[in-house]
Amino acid sequence: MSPPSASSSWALVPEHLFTEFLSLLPVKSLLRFKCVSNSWNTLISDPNFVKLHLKKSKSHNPQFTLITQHIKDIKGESPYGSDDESEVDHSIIPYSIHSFLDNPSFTLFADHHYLLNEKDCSFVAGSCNGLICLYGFRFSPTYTIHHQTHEYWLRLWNPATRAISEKIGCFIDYRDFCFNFGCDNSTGTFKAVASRYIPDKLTSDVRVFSFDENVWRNIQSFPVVPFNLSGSGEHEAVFFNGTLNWLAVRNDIPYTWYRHHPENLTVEQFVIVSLNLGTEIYNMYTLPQGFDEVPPAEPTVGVLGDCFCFSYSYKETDFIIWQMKKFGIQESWTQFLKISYHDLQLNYDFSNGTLKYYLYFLPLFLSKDGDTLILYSSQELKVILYNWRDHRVERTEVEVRKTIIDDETYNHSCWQNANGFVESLTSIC
Amino acid sequence: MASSSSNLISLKTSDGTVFKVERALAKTMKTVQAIIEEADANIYMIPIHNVFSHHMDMIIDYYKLSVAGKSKEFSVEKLDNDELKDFLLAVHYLNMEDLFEVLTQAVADRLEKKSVGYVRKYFGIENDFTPEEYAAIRKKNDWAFKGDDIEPEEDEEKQEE
Repeated sequence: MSPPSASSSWALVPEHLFTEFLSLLPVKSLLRFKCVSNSWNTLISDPNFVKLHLKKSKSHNPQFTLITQHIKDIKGESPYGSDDESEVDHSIIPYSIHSFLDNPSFTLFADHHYLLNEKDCSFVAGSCNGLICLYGFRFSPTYTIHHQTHEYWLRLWNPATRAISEKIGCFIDYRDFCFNFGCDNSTGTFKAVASRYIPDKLTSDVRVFSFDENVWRNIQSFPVVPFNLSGSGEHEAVFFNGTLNWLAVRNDIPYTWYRHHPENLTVEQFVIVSLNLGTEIYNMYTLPQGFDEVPPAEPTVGVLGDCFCFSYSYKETDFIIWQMKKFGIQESWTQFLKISYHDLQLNYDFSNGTLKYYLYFLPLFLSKDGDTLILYSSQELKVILYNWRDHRVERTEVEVRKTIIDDETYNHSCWQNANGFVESLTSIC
Repeated sequence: MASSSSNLISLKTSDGTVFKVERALAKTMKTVQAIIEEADANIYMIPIHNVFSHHMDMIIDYYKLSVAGKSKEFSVEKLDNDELKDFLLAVHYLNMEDLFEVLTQAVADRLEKKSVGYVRKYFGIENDFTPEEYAAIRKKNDWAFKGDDIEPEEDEEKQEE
């Protein structure tokens, strides 16, 4: 189709109409169309337009990021394998939720601009409004030889525009810091949170980095230490509505599920610790009244369909999801789904009695109409699509490849770290 | 209120055709709705400027499909770029939210993979960059010009020949 003659009256059309089409275009197109004219370049770079585009992107094209791990064995000289090494890299890849629901079995290529090692970063602190906060660290010996210290840094990255910041927020401190990311709802300022459990003092070291002020600030320690904080170093905080939220258990010692069986816990000990990124003050919320039995495996918190949610396995037969319909209002907890394992067509072997302690499900996303749930199973290490209205189950097969040629890299998807994402023009500075 | 005894509203298009439409459909046209509400006396006929009879045909098609829950089946594929523009402007004049969103998405879809040159011609926009300015902006986001599905720029096509 050839373009219309220039005499057609687009020139008479008010500018806000152009804004309407432009706000619906993907970022790649908009970056190209900055070259159309001076006024288009100005319009596309305008912060108000960026906000409008972000809003449309959230409703029209919800995405998620998938973290993938790539391990390559490098054989050393020794025939005994004593100097064999493994090269580990990660990618974080955005993908459209609609596309995934339409075709849940496909091959994903980890293009090199998604690789983290090249950015000198190790992992992801979180994502918000189209920006991903990466962090890196390396062993940095200090004059005090009593403890091992690391040098840490952050990098702010927009995968849609491919802009990435320099290393910022550098600091040197103990190992085992965990990182999280979000933004202050009222001002839109991006913030990172670094936290570490201090076992001998039964407290935690928490600090906040404001990307506007470019400085770390110590804040109060967690009122209740999130469980798993002292564990593997990755702990899941959920960013929602300007707050970061952790599941915690009131206990004298930090609780790590896989080390201590839950027989000694009571439901009353569970609590949600919520950090408001604007005020940098904590709130605590109790869990639903209907949560009356400590589940065999770790419960989880997350975001589903624009609501903060809490989910867990129930009596080895069901999986329950609650939604906090009005965030912060404890009376608004509403049971959203109770899915029987039978409906999920699980053929796991429950006979030996220990599977229940390790089996957990993570509700990841909901389809736009709310009928299909994308659910991760720790047993299958895969994601299941469950349409709860029709009780239809579909298993998915997502293969990850680093390159088209098989270079003997072992590639693996970390669905348990998948997070909601949105494509945007948000600037990294 | 127009003909309070009937459920039909009469709309007269720019080319003189009179359409009798259901009140519910007229309600989706905020411009028409405003005229109806402002009138003191009965209105027998509401003139709608910039809207031609072929536009009304498509508006009625869309309305029927959306009432049946099939709005996704509505397509403007057969319209050329000029026709789509005129239809969009007509719907914009009538202030019909849903259909307007459908049409702006259709325009965006048509532009998504196109070259900068195409977009300039489409909207009748002059290139007011100096060659140096253009080269600088282009260089910054050069990767966005690449990809199998992206229409190459005219100057590049010539270079490849």
